[in-house]
Amino acid sequence: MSSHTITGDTLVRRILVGGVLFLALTAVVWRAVTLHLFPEEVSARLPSRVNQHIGEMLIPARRGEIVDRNGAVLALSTPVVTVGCNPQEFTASSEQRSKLESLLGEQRGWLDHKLSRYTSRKYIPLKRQVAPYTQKQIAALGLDGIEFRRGVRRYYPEGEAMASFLGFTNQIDEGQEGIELAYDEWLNGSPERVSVVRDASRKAIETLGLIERGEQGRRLHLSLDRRLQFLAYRSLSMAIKGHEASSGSVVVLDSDHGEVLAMVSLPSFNPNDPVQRRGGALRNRAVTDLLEPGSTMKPFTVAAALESGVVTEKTIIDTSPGTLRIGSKTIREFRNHNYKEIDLATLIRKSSNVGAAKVALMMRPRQLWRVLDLAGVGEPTGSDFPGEGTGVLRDHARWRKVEQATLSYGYGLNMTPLQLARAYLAIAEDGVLRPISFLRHPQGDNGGEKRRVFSVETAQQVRAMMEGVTQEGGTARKARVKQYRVAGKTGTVDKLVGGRYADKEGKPFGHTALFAGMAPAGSPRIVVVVVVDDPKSGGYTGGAVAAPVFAEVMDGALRVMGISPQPPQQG
Amino acid sequence: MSSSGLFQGWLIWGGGSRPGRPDAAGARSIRRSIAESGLFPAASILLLFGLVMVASASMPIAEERFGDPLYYLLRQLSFASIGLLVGAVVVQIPLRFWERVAPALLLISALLLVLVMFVGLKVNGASRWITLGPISLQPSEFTKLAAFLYLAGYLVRHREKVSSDLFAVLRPIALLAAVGVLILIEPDLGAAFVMMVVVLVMMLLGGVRFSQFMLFILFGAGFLLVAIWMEPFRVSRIASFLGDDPFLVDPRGRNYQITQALIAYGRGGWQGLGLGEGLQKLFYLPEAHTDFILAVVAEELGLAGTLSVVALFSFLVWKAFRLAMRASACRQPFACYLSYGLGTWIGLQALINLAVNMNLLPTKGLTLPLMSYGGSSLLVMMIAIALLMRVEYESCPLARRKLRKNRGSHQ
Repeated sequence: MSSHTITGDTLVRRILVGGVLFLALTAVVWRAVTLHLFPEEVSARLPSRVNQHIGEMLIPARRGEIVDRNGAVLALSTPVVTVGCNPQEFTASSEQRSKLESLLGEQRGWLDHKLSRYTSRKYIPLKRQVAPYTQKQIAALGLDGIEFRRGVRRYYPEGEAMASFLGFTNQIDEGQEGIELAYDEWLNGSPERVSVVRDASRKAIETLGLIERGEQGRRLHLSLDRRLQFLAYRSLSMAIKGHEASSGSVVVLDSDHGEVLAMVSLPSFNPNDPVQRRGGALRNRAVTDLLEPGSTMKPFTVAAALESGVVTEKTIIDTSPGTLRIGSKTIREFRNHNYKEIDLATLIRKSSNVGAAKVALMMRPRQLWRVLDLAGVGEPTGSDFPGEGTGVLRDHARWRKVEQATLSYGYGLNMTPLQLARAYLAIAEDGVLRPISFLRHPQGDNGGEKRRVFSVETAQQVRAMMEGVTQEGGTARKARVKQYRVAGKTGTVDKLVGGRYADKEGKPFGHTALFAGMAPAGSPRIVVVVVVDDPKSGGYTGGAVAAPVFAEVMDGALRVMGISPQPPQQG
Repeated sequence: MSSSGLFQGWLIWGGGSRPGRPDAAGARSIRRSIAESGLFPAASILLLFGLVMVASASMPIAEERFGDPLYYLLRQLSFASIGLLVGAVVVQIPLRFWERVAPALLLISALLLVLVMFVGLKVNGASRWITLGPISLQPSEFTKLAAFLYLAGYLVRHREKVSSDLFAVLRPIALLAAVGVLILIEPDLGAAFVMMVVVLVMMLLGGVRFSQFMLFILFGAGFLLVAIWMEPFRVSRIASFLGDDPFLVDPRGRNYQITQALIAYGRGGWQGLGLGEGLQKLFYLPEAHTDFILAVVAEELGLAGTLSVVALFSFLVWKAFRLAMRASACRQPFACYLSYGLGTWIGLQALINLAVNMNLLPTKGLTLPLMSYGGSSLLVMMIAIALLMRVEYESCPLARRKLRKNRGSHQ
């Protein structure tokens, strides 16, 4: 090329421009090779970022359902969605807004009010726990900026009747109370871990593979009977209403297997309404509340005396003049009766405090203590219910004489209604005690350790005495069940408030009415304990308040469990 | 004369190229010229490659923004079709026409730039677009082309004075710098920078004295510094660029874009993950379908893909410079300057885009010619390719014969 071109692009200038461009090209090629093949040369952090898209995702397992002994569903997890909104993208017309409001069951203007508070946010949850059916309807509106997030909701078909027993779960379906908490691990299963490709907004795009196999939540088969639970619930709530009582509980046990057939605690709450999940209603009083069992302990005093040989069935005890003074304390009969000379059966039937105290004082402390201890006073029932109370039974070495006397009729120790029911198992099962279970065991044995509390003869003798309670002259004729023989014992306890049983004028602060019993008396299958706290009208004794509930529940239980009737023995 | 020149091409298109009929003396068919040129396959491959990559890169973001994964692809396809039509027309129009209308084109472009200041569509804080119904145009892209046409014509008219008279040099530079300021106001530093650099290169190849050229270089550098200091975000970009390891400075902040681009290269390796298999486009890499389309190429097609892009652009630039030199030999100064200008433009813009993608230069809003998504950019680049084809068509038979003889002797 000559430098005499007409255009002035001399060779030097061409080379200059071409050379600069070529140098730049070389730099770009060199850089491309480095970046592609040796990224660590550019930055030591590059190689580690190469897999930034791969992440782990948890697919939650569906929580197992809870069923009663017959397979009826008591708690069920169903998929729901949380309807949310991105205000930045939400451009619905006012007509669409009101449609959305009505689908979500809200009033007009609710949406605008909610959105106006968080205009700068990118996500606002509008409504949680919306049914998939409603989600479809909302999606059909085709609104921009409406998002659905999957969730799960626990539903309790039985509502209040089961509430404090089953407990409930939180928003991510973890057990919070009751059975849901006690068997959380069993019910929950474990989530599946998968590796996924995520986009920059962390949304999973594609599943790459399984990291860890999850496990579906398992079904929990309870020993509870749905019908019986409802019967007990209804019966107890009528009694509480009728007697203006403050609270109450009922425990029904299958005595052959130690299984809980029903366990009601009132007042209750609606477990399907999260707003109600607070306060004292959450407590399952049958398991958590400690109370002095009162006269319901007398059968054990008699049993201990029979067992230690200080008395026989025929022993006559002189309870005159109806009071017994020990140190500064005077033990009185109920309503200051004087039962005079009575045998042990009459002691139980009439519920004589003086008689029980005299029998107790015949024994060495250890002899009475041993039976109460073996009957499970002050010991967990083995139910593993959350918040279960254990109760207190003081050691016999430190008993004073007056304590030994009051213990005989159920003061100075405390236990839960469930513990009381379990102790009665020993009387029902000819002296053998077993742990309590909430679960259904198909082979009929819950595998717990059995132990003998007293002999077969003692158990049968005490049971025979307890049959008198429901007969003429007994304290609880209202506890009778047609066509069945019932053995039981009333309890009317003065409430202990601040270490005292009565105010300065000698008036008690209130009462707790109890009835514990079993049927059929010949070979008991069902044990029922009824506790009604603080009845204020229509009587306050165990025989007047708790016994009718007992009779109703026992009647239902015997029918539900299919136990054939036996005509009551005369005499 | 001029009017017959204007329609010359049309006549040839209409009848001259029918098979079996001999061409007019000394003229070839435009079709044959295009078919023989390496420009057409190279540009076509780049265009189709670009369409495929836009399809791959834009689907996630189109789905997210418009609910239609093909949104960007279809728009780019329609722009490409328009570009083909416009290019087919441009290729028919003699270069003399452009030489004559270039000042008018520049004036119209400048007016559009003023217009965009007032009615422009604001995107990311810059008003660069004029909306006309469904499409929006970017006047700065057209301004660049008009500026090069104008300068090529100016250099032809003032060939002698340019290498002697400083005033003759200053006049177009001042005019184009004023236009450059209009682009800067948008603000679009990248476009203004590319335009001024190409103008200087054209000046150099047009015979401006070295001393004056160096003066302009200094002046331009000073101007660039001022422009950078004026806008704080540019300063931060430079600062993040100067930090050697881009990961050391705030990986989720201002360096986010470039670190995500760099990750793409390492993921691509030799041969890439496969077309469509890239993950960086899943919102990790912002602007994946526009300025950072090379990163998508790198991730999906690896080093092979990246070097193919580099090679294709190198070929285009080399071809443009060859055409310029031939035009110079044929005493066609306008074609010569224009080819230099267009070749430098394509090369420079590609180089800057690639360098930005690989963190050799700080981030700038420059597209990759013919490949990136963007209607105006694509359209203008296709017109530029059509102009180069026209330059090839018009180049003198002498040069062509020489070329053929050389080729024959090699065979």
